[in-house]
Amino acid sequence: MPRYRFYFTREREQSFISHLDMMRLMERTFRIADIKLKFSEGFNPHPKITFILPMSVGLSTKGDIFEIELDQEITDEKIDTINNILPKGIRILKIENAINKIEVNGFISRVVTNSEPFNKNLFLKFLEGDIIIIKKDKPKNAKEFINTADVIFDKYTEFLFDIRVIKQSFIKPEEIVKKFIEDFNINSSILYVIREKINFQRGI
Amino acid sequence: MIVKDKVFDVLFNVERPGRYTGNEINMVVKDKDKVDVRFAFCFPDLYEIGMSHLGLKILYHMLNEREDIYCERVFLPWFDMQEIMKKNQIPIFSLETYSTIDEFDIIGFTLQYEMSYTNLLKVLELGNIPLRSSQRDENYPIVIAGGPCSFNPEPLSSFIDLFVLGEGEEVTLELIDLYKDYKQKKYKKEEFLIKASQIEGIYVPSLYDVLYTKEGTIKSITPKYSGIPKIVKKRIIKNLENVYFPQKMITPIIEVVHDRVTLEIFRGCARGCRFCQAGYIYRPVRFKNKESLKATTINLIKTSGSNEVSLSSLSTSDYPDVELLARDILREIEHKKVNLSLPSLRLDSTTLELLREIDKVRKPTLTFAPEAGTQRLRDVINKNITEDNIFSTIQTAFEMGFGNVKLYFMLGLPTETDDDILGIYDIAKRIKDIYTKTAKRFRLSLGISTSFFVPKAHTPFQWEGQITIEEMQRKARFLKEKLKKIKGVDYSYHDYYLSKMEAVFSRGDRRLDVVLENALKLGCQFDNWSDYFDFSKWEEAFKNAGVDYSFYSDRIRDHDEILPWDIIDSGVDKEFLIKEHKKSKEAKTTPSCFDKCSLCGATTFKGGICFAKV
Ligand code: SF4
Repeated sequence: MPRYRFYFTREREQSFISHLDMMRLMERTFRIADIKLKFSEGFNPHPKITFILPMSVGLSTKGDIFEIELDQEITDEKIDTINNILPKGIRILKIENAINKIEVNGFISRVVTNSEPFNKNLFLKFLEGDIIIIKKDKPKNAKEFINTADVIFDKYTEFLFDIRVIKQSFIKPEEIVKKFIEDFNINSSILYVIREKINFQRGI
Repeated sequence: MIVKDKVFDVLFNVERPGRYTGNEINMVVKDKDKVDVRFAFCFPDLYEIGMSHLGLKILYHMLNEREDIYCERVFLPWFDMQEIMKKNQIPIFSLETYSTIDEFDIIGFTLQYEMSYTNLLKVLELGNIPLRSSQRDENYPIVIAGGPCSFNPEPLSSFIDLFVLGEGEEVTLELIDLYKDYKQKKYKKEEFLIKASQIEGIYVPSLYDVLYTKEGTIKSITPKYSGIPKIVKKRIIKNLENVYFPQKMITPIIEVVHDRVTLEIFRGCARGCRFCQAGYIYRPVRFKNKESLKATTINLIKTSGSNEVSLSSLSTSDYPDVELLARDILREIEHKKVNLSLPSLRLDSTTLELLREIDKVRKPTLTFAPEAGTQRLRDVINKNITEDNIFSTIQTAFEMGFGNVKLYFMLGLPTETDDDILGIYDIAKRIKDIYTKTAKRFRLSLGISTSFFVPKAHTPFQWEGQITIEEMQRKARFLKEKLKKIKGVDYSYHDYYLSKMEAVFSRGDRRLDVVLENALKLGCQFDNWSDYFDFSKWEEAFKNAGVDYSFYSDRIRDHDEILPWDIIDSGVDKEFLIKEHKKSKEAKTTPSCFDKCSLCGATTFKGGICFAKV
């Protein structure tokens, strides 16, 4: 059965839904568009949709990807139909045939906060030490997942991260920011997170 | 900063922020400045509850069909959000345009359960709108309410400008037309209310004086002016064939309680169980046509993308040839991987077969609602279900491999003795025995659930008293001890304090307004979420108001006492209810409207099965 890769954007307006909500939304959209989905066999059939990176609550993206198995062939022409159904804030940019697998190496994210400007050295010092984050009950050092990081003071205080994905595992940049805010007692809360770009490699 | 930006800036830090972002599939988008009437539809509970409610969706789309109206939705934000909103000075807002509720012309509440009354007041408070109708002049929105609880509107009468009684489709539009006139000609609010009271189905509480006797009962309810109706009759839609039903339905993106497309297949219930308010206030029974139901289902699946359709009614098996309808619909939707669900289905061997067909994957839970443990008590409450019925169905169900059974009962029904409670134990025991004797290909899960009887307005039991809290505890404990003897039975019971409060407000009068205000001040909200319900606060609210709640809940009333809701005419005559009440004492049953007309009075609506048998 054909497997397709959908490139999409998600704006802040539609970013406050969970990963599961996003899957359900896509299933509904395809049903409305009358595009036949391939369903899993067995007790509780569900469509075969995979997002190449999880879409966490509060995350906007300038370009993420999901792959889906269909029971029919489609072309780029369906983009308009689908976009007309999708609620405002989610747009499909491109559809391609997913012949080869893709492998995610990392991504670039921006975490926007309402914190007052602080001494940047604080953040640099924080990055130098170990950054222990508890993930599913296990402590992990975020350091090995950070390629580069920076903080910019503009209208808002924005943290920029280039995150490495190692064997499909990574640390969410917002977790790192939360840890920093906590450790250094900075009066701040996160407003939103944007994934600027995913770095991936096509398999051969 | 505009409200929307303020809201979005806090969403990252609240639970389930998708409750506050709107923008769902089929949400109606209009220019709010280009309509004549802005209507805020408020469901006084959490988004996930409100968006599971069919009535909201019908009215939402119906109002929005009209170009001159923009209907938007408002829900009560959860505690964490309320706190952040307070800190950041964000008033409560609508999901369509992030307007504050004072920007609307009409604020309409739906009253689905008594324990949402403090939520309703909370919505007004979070919108900076004075709670009392008398404190709101022409510069404030008109605050209206409808839904089943408006059949005893009195506890809310100081807060709500007018109530819509019965089915709202036609009357709401008539009201809005009158409102347009009011806005244009700029007449006084009271003048508007007087005009509104002339529309059939609209009750304006401020136009009536209520006097009380020394004993505290009602002495009289009289209109303040001549020309105001002495009694307000509910509205119904005579012919459901022509009634509006959306062909596109707003479909939430986050998971809600009932995540599915719901179709109502008929209105009303013909059974007349004597405790059941729905069985009386929605009379007469009117069916929808099979062909149009099928067509609507197909459309709704197409436009909502939902993966579940539910056929809803008060008693689904009473729809003529419901199996045929279900099978037809199933044929249309199955290949799209859409499920069908049939709540409120009476179980017997044919419906079991149907259930197996429609639900091949999940093993659905079989539910029975005998409501009482002995035939005598079931005759008292006019519940037409026999033990043989239940046992033979369960036998078949076990043979078919269904292993999840749940039974619903009530404790504290009029004339109940401990023998009747023992009857519940006997039923559970028999089911267990049937299971033991049947080939065991599955593990039995047997749930027994009890609620406490709450006397409701407009039912034959409206004069009855509710048992005391101590007695509720005793009865539940007694049953629990007995059921412990059957291994594997799971017993749960409703909160007795909550049941007590329900009993107070379902038959309360105007003097409860102070109690509600006190409760709000003490922080009572989301009361039907038992984790957040705090009875000690309610006790304080009553104490500070000098009101004894048992006067409303526990007291047995005389047939000739003037009841707070006597001003409302549900179509069912009081004489009929008295007759039914007397019959209940002799454990005499009354046939369903399908078998024989018992002359309840609902023929005055000149529609439904009172006239055309199906
Ligand atoms: S069957 Fe009885 S309990 Fe159920 S809706 Fe009808 S009258 Fe009420």
